[in-house]
Parts: sequence; C-alpha cells; structure tokens
Amino acid sequence: MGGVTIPIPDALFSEVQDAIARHQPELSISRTEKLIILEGQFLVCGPDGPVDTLDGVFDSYNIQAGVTAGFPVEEPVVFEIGGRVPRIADRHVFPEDGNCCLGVWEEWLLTAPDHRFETFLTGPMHDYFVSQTHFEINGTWPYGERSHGVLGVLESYADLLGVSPDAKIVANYLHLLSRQKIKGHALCPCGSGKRLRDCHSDDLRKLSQKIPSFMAKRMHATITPLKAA
Amino acid sequence: MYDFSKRISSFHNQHVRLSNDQRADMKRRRETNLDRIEKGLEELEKPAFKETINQGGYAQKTMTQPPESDQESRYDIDLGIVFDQDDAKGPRTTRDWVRQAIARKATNMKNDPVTKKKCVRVVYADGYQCDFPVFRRRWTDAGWRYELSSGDEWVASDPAAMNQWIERDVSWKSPETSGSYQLRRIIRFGKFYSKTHAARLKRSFPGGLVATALFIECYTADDGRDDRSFRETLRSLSQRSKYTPVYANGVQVSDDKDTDRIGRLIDQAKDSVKELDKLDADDTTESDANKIWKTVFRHGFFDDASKNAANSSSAPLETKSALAGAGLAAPFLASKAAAALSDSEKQSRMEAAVSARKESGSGGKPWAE
Repeated sequence: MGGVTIPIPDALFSEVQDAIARHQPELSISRTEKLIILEGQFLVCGPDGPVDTLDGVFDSYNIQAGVTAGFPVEEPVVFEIGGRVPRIADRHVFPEDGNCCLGVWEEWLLTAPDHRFETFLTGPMHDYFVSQTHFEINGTWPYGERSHGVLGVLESYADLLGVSPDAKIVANYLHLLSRQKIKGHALCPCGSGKRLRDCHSDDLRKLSQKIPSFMAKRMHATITPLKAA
Repeated sequence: MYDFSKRISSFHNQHVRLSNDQRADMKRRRETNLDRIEKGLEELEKPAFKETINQGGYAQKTMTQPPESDQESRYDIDLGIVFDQDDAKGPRTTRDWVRQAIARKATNMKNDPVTKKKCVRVVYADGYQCDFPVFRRRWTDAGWRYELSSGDEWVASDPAAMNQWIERDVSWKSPETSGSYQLRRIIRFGKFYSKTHAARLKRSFPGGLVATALFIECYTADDGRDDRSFRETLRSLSQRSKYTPVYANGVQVSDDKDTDRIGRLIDQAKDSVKELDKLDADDTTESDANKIWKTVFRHGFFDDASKNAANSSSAPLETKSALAGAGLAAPFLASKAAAALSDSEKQSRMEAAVSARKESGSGGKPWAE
C-alpha cells in the first residue's frame, strides 16, 4: 500500500469491533496507527452466525487480517496462518505474499447491499473459508471460482457488465462508462461498429446507473495495464 | 430452588427459540418481500431503495415460537427500507411508493397493504405480518444519517441503534463466566411467557420491543441457572409499577395503550413467582417442578415425566453455563467444538450453510492472481 497512509478513524475501529463482537467471538482486535489487526480463530458457520447460535459452527481457521483506514475503498488483507490452506493459486492464495484471494474487490463493491465491515466479514470473507472447507471435503468450490490472473478479473467485470469476457469489449464498455456523460453518437462498445444510439444504448443507460463513472475508471485502470501485458 | 436448569434449557431449545427451519423460513419471506418491493418500484418507475435494515426480533435474535395453545399465530417481520435523500420525496409519498410496490407484486394477501404512521404493513393470508418502516439517508461527515418517515415528517432516527443497544446489553449484563448470552434466552422466555398468557386470557400483553425492553430492565443474572434467573426476573417485574414508562436505549417505547398490558404481565408475574417460590422447599421432587413450571409456560413439555432424563442430557452448545456447571471452568470455544465434530456432522452443517447462502443469491467466488 503505497502513498500517504491515513490513520485509523475511531468510527471505523468501533464498527470493526462491533462486527467482531457480533460474529467472530474468537478473534482478537488491536490497532496500530494505520492498521486494524484481527487475529485468532475465524469461525465458519451457518447463516445465523456463530454468536448465540453456536450449533451452526462447523469449522475454524487460524487467521490474521489487516484493515486500513481506506476501507471499504481498500480491500482488507487476510492471511490463513494455521498452515492448512496450501499457498498456491489453485487454492486461491496469492503464492507470493501468502494472502487469501477473497474475490475481485470491485465486484463486491458493486454488488454488496452496503459497504459496512460487517457485510464484508459475513460476506466474502466468510464465503472464502466456507469454500475452503468445501474444497477440502468435496474438491469443489461451492459458489464457483474465478480463473487465475487477468482472466478472473475480466470474468468478474464481464459478469457485472453482462457481456462476454473479451478484454477488448470489457475495456470498451468501461471506457465509455468512465465518462461523465455518455453520448448517443459514440461507437457502441459491443464492437458492432454501429452508433450507440442504434445499438446498446438502453443497456448502457442501465449500466451507468449500476456502475458509477469513478468505479468504471477504477476498473478500466485495473484491466488496461493487464491487457497491455 | 430446585435445580431445573437443564430441563428449562431443553425447553428453550425445543419450544421457545426458533428452529433452524423456522429461521430459514423467515429469511425466505424476507427475501421475497424485498424482491417484491424492488420489482414493484422498478415497474412504478420510482427510485430504487439503497439499503435495508433488519429490525425487531429477527435482527435481535429474540424471536420465539408460538405458544402451545396458539400454534396458528405467526411471527412478524420488520424490515427497514432506505432510500437516498436525493431520491426520496415527502415522507408520505415515499412511504406510499413502498405500499404501491407491494400492492403491485404481492399475492395471497389478507388485505391490501396499508400505510401506517411509521410503516407500511402487509398481512398475508397465512397470518404473517410484515412491517416496512421507510427511511431516507444522507452522507455526512459523521457517516450516514437516517430519518424515518413518520406521519408527515422525516424524524431523525438511528435504525441500527436499537439492535446495537440490545446486543450490547446482552453481552454486558449476562454473567461473564457462564456464557454471555443468558439475557438473550431470558428475553426469549419472557416474550414467550407474555404471548402464552395473552393467548390463554385472550387479552393483550406487551409484545415486541416493549416486552424486550421490560425483560432487559428486570433481568436478574444468575450464573448457569436460567430457571432461577427467570424466576428472579419475574420477581423484579412483579415489583414494578405499570405506570412507569418503558425505555429502550434511552427512548421511551411504551405509550398509554401499554399501561394495562404491562399491568396484566405484572399480575401474571406475581402469580408465577408465588408458584415458583414453592420450589425452594427441600423436599421438592422432579414431578413437583414439572407441575409448577407448567403453570408458568403452560406447555405439554412439562407433562412428559419420561423426558425428565433430559435434565441431565447433553448441553446445547450455546449454554456455556452447562459446562461451567459441570466444573469446567475453561471458557467455551466454538472452534474447539467444531474441531471435535464428526466428518458427517461437519459435512451436513457445511452443506446447510452453503445452500442457505446460495438461496439468498450470493456466495463469493474466490480468485487468484
């Protein structure tokens, strides 16, 4: 995380504290100036959460996680430190740094009902460890998985856009959605060669309501260097 | 007092707390209603809501099963619908969007949805009642600020605060050494008790938030003994005045119509305490205890003497108290219990978790670079 790091606001710290107290009673929480640190056993359980109805808990993982002041714009970093999940891409762990790859962050930002820490904790973070247990037992990923690398990001963005995971088409869509105003005479991003107004203008209008331009810019920036590579 | 804690704990798990199936049913109903509002708003070409906030017993995990004598009664669902301030119109108009959206999409309703002062209410033919309070929110330097559509006004409100207050009280007031969650069980017993006697006497008793706040106010902790804790909670309730307003998180939640309801609950508590005090006699038998607790909860569970063996049966995971009572002072750890599960139990819990998650239409896909 380069650049200027902002100190942790008290409101974020107490939000994280509340969520942990509510859903993960075996995690401890501490803070440095720039990071909220979670450590301990992450409980994996049924839909009602572990607090008060512990009869749904079926597994736990020894984890360490860090949340920056940039949450939710910045994704928390999670490590499984019990040595249970092999450090390989096929198990959705970044081999180099060893942190868990919970999913494509922009996908969560655009599809989550809200961006509270609690929603992250009980959503993608919990799903990840349910998936790991499922993989250990059955050898499959219960909610599916993304491809490795660029293709995974493209798949995710393509799903959000409702198009095929073609790098050029996805980039065209995101480029257009990055604009403050989308004009009808622009070339349609689908690659038909037609004007937008004669092609996918309705789709674009709906998409622009779902994906704000700053988010489209961020997504475009993510795939553009990848595309070049 | 005759130690009936394990039997009371079994009663709680079997007949008071909602079963997993009932909870899943609640969840399904919640999703269906949300879906209806979402689609209805879209068809009406009204702005989409931005967030929903679970309220009431569902959010506070204090929902209870219906009393034995009134199995047809159903639980209610409270779900806050939040619009962005820029999208919302006047309080009445915005509330009406939600009413129209439901009216458009819902079937099998008993009556058309109605706009109440603080919510939109729909009652389904099978007895479920759903209340939808409507909020608008705006972003400020101090985070999101919420206002409830109440009559013709937008009233500042913090919809999550009540849930947090209960959550906080549950963990603060419950005994630390014997599971932090005794208060939540006492709230459930209390709500169940109130509903049971309301059905028996065919009169209104306090329900919902008023009942919850009353039992929090009167709660008397008793490490590892839910039976004694509930008796002492009833005792403290029986010594209270029906005219004292009930507060939740510093806000008065009772009004004039509650005075008589609270009065009935207090009178009932007096009777029950008198009965329960008989359990202090040294020669009390198991059968006496069953009879007396039956007058409290009016449930056939206390008839079946053969089940008395259950008083020493396996403790539910949630009752840390049961472990402490058995002389195990170490704190209860769910992770340890999970590690001790058989493979098949682990697999079946996992499958249940996965399918519930899939039903709700979510489930994150992991990725790797």
